[in-house]
Amino acid sequence: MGDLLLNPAVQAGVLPFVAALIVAVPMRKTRHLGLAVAAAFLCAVYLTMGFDFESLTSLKKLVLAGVAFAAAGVLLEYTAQPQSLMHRVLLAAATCAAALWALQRIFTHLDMPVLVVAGTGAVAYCLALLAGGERVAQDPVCAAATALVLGLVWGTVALLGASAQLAQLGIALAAGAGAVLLVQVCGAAAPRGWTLGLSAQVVAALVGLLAVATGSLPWFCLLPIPLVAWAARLPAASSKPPWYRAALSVSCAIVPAALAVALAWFTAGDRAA
Amino acid sequence: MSICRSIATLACLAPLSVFAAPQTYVIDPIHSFPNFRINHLGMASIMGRFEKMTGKIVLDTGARTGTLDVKIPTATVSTGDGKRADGVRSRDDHLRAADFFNSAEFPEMTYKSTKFNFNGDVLESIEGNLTLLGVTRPVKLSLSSFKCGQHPFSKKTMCGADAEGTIKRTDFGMKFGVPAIADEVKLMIGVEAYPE
Repeated sequence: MGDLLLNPAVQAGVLPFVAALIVAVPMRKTRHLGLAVAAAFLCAVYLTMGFDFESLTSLKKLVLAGVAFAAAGVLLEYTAQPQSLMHRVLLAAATCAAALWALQRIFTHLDMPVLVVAGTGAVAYCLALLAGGERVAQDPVCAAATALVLGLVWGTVALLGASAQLAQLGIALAAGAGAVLLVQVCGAAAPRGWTLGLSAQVVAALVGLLAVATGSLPWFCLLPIPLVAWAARLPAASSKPPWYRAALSVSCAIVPAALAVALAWFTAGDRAA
Repeated sequence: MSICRSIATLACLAPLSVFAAPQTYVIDPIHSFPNFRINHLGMASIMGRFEKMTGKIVLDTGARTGTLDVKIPTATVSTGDGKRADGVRSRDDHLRAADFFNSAEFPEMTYKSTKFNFNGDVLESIEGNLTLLGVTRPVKLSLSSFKCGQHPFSKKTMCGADAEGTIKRTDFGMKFGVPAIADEVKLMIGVEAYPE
């Protein structure tokens, strides 16, 4: 049993998927279904890194930001009009602030011109991901499909060029989104809500930025990632059953994801020190 | 006459004060390397080292005290797998990434001594604090050899030592791969230093 718990596939995939299912089944008809993704993420964190925050590394900050945005999603369900411009602006600002906070210690070692470019790039990347997330937020099946593909692509790309721990967190995100997609495909689509897309988008943004900042992943591997959400929303199939919409969304979202993986496959080692 | 006696006494004591004065030594980065050994998969040990180490040692053999202040750039880690021909990420790249030394975020690890332990005139061990990945823990280094003398060619005064120690990397938050990649890491450090 101990050996099984040490298996990376179990830590990042199997157990987070089970944890997500345990949360998703009772929540399947509520707007808090996205908490299943948070459950998968936290399960993977517990098994791989633990919750020791003595030294607040960028990875630990990513965990804290993921938890904070999952909690924010729950609060927003009770307080916010989904389309309020003010809330969208505040969320964008909070996401960019979380990214800069996670990268802060890395930025202190950069020269000013590089720091400005890196900071601007990080903010632009976060905003691009959030814009895509907004596009899919109105369709929970599409949102779950987007989170699934984002998790898979970051699991693969981080493994190729950066960090196995980041890869495990990405795979856990995919496992959680997969559980959410499964309950919707087997039943009915969940009501729209903040929880499904928000924390997944933020965690995906931070995983990508950390993979570039702390690993040997070139920055241009990030470029296709914001297109995942746009591609997932391409098929106009709102009247079709959830399983059909899920399959279509995943199939379309895989295209930019595959491009990002291809870029990482052919270039990741070249950035070595 | 009493003044002359005082002056004579002071003149006799002067050489002893020279031996009692603390001497600062600068670590020679070309001949000083921190090496490490770690068990891999329970099968064999992987050896590695950091290619650069800088710092200063202050030694007062008269008072039997001293200080050691060392900086090691974590990006200089080397285990013999620096770049692979097929472009796949190498082990050294992985060690520099967030799973291990996280060099982008923590470019240096430092060791600052808190106590020098002498056995008679021989420096036996050094106690101090290692700061790695933003976490500081006490680490004791045992000296298997310590010698000061003249460089055989340049005739410059120099000191050299071999030190050993053991740490648990999880104490510093480096948890990836445990227990397949062992928690315990053996340190083997060779130092040569010249007076400042």
